[in-house]
Amino acid sequence: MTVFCSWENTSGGKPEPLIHGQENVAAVIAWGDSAIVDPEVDVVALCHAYSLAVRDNSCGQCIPCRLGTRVIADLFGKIADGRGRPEDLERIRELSQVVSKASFCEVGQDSPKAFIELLDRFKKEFEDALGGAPRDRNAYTYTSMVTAPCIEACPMHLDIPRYIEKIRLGKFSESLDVIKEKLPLPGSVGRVCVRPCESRCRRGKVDEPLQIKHLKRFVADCAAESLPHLEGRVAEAGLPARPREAALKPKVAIVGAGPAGLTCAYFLARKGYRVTIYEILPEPGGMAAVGIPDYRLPRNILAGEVDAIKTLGVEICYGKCLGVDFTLDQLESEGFKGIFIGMGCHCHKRMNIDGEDKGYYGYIPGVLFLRNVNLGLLSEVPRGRKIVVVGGGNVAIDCVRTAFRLGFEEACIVYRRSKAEMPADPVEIKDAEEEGVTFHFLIAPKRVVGANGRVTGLECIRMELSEPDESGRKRPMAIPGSEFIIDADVIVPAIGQDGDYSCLCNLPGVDISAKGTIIVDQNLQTVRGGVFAGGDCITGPATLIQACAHGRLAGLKIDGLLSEGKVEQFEEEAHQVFLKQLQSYKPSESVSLPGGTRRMPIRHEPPAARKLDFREADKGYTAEEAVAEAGRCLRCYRVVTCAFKKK
Amino acid sequence: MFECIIDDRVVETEEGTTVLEAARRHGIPIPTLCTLKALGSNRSCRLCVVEAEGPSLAPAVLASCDLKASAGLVIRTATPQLQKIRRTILELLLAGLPENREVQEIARKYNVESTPFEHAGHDECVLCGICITACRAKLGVSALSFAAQGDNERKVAGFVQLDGSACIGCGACANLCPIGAIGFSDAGDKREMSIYGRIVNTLDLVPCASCGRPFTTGKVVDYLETCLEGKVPEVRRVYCPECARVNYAPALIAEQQSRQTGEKA
Repeated sequence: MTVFCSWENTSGGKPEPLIHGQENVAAVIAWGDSAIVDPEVDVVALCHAYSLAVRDNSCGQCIPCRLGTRVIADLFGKIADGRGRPEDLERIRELSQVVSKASFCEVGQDSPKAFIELLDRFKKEFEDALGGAPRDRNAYTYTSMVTAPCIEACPMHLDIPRYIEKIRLGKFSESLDVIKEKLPLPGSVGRVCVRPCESRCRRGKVDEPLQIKHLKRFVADCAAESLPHLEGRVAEAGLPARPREAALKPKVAIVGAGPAGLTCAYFLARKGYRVTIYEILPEPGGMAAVGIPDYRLPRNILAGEVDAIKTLGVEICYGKCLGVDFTLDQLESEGFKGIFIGMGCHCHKRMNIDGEDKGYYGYIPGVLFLRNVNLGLLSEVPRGRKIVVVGGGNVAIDCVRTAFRLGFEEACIVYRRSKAEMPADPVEIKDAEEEGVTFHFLIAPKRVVGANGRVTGLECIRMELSEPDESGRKRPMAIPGSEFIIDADVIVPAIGQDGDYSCLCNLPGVDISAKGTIIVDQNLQTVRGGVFAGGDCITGPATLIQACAHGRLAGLKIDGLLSEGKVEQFEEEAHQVFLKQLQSYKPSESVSLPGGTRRMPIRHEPPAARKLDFREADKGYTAEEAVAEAGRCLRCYRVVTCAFKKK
Repeated sequence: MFECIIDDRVVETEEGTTVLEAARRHGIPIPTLCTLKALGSNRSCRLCVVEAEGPSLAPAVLASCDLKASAGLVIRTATPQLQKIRRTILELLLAGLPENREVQEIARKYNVESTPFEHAGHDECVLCGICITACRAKLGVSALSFAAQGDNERKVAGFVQLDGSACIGCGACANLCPIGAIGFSDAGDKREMSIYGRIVNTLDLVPCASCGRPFTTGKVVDYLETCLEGKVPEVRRVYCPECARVNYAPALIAEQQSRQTGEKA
């Protein structure tokens, strides 16, 4: 039974039950709001614990927050010790109001609001405490954590406000260090991330979200300019360049040198494990290398980041296919104590239309088309004058834009819904439009038309949209009799991907779901002990940052298994699950700040020039631009303190 | 140009101006510690808060140094609420730096003589950030930065620190510090930079080629050379300002005249 709860979640209800890890939460203060679940809870001590957390998380840059939170914490400390005076309560209230009105960021603005509310609600408890009423000080323990809407949105939970702040202060290499605490591929992710953080940026409610992705790229590029110092830099960040104790730690094998595998290797190598990655392709990067064209993610950027990981002592064996060149049994018998499977989704989904299987020259699935181009297998890429790509996602956009760069004169996209429903990144769609891609909306493919063994066109049918279905998307319905043919020399289906885990099928202990993904528990471990999996092979096709997040967690879990013999939920995971219930981003919230400071624009190569070759299309920020953009951050840190009853 | 209203006065101002600038231009005083015309704002002291309301802005208390003036904005600079906030900020400063005379003086300027708060100090300065902005943004030297003690990674500003290898000893920070927390003193052929009364850097001074009196640090001269790509006139490089003026102004004028005559011919 909740005694008091000051907030409602978006569905209008209370965030119940409040559970952190395995424990029931007795009470919580979460930025402006609070909930007291256990009627016995010591509100005075809870406020004191929260005031300490707020004080310790105040960045110290603005006076009201730095000094105000310090004084508030001192006053609560006095009261909790039974040394408080009646005027102290009023002082806390007034100070909370001033700090909340005058502070620069959310730490100062939001946190003290909870004090005002609790002082009112629990007036008697506070007054009793002034009199030094005896209280059991050891009945509860307190845990504090910090989040922000952008941090919550990031699958990796990167401390975004912190690295942005370091950019604003001109400390670019320290900013990169913040990112590299968790993510070894900042230059790559800084170019192609789908940036869930930006869609949750509260600045977006005022004018436009921050260019978080480009800021990440900026600090990565700053460091890349001084690449020869790479080894020194790694050591600088407190990481052993080549761990000396490596010979003592067990061997770990990783299947797949994609984002998940590389990130997993980074964390294991940093901890001193001897890591070997087995990769089927002739180069590292997985989907990031062969699924994303060079004009979006230049190969030297990815290669530089992979080199940095190799510098930590990671070995990569190329051209090795699981199930063909090696098996899990073999790896285990060779002494690998931990195995991480981080395979990607390289198989295409079929359109299931006539003509797809006729073997026509000119028919090639999107992922294969991009892979062949990226691997330089140009003879395997069908050519012609006009290319038709089917699909509305980022792979479809990558295919049409790549086509121009291969010399196709005309490139078009066929999508069965309308532009509003396209899952592709709007920025990518705009870039494609600028380059002259034609979009055909509300059209579905019906038959691949061919003659003399070659594709000649795509028979299509017009669609109309129904009312939104349970997924919220409008369902396209064919208009009978509206068939027509679009001429095409090359047809590229890009309507989704699947994994190819046939190599795992006969292996005991690794279960595959009906969707074809590997089944893992909440610790990313398969039923086969010591074998972990992450990335696309457990989620189906997803994002680069999600794969990296899995890679990192799996690396840390493997370390837990090999160093302590146990695999368990980390405190940070318990925090994240708990914080999710609190909804740090409220879509309906209005932010009362003057708008009009637009995001720093990105400079591009002009469309006519860039579509002729694979040069990088977007240019990075200059230092001045990055510092100015970083100055737009509202620093929406949220401080949370929970009370738990001691057992 | 557009109009906004500050304290019931119609104020005409232009795009890009902050409310603080606009108010000052029209003689409406708003207190601040961390904003200088030449350096812009550090958004840190929050003394310049105003009440703002506009066509697309719900009523809010905002720092006027960080608020761009816009058409239809209605600003109040001295309501009881704002006075209370400013008073509290100064009381907090007094509690944070109880022994600092300069801080007491600043507070007194705004009629705050004492603080109701108990000593809350670990700070040695107001951390306004002016010295850091001057060093980084204006001089491009970046020798000063915020640092913080303790293991909380989100702490940014606890004190100001100096990177002795980057510092050129120009003394701009010392001259701009509102509370005299940074200083420099010249003795013999050395300049000593100090922060919070502790010597943090010692630099070599160069003597004037004419009078022999040390007049600046070698690093300042070198830095000028680098910034101006070696185009620093000799008189500026080797002579103290006094000697340059007294001894070389006539020569410079003569040289300029002869050049002009040459151009005419």
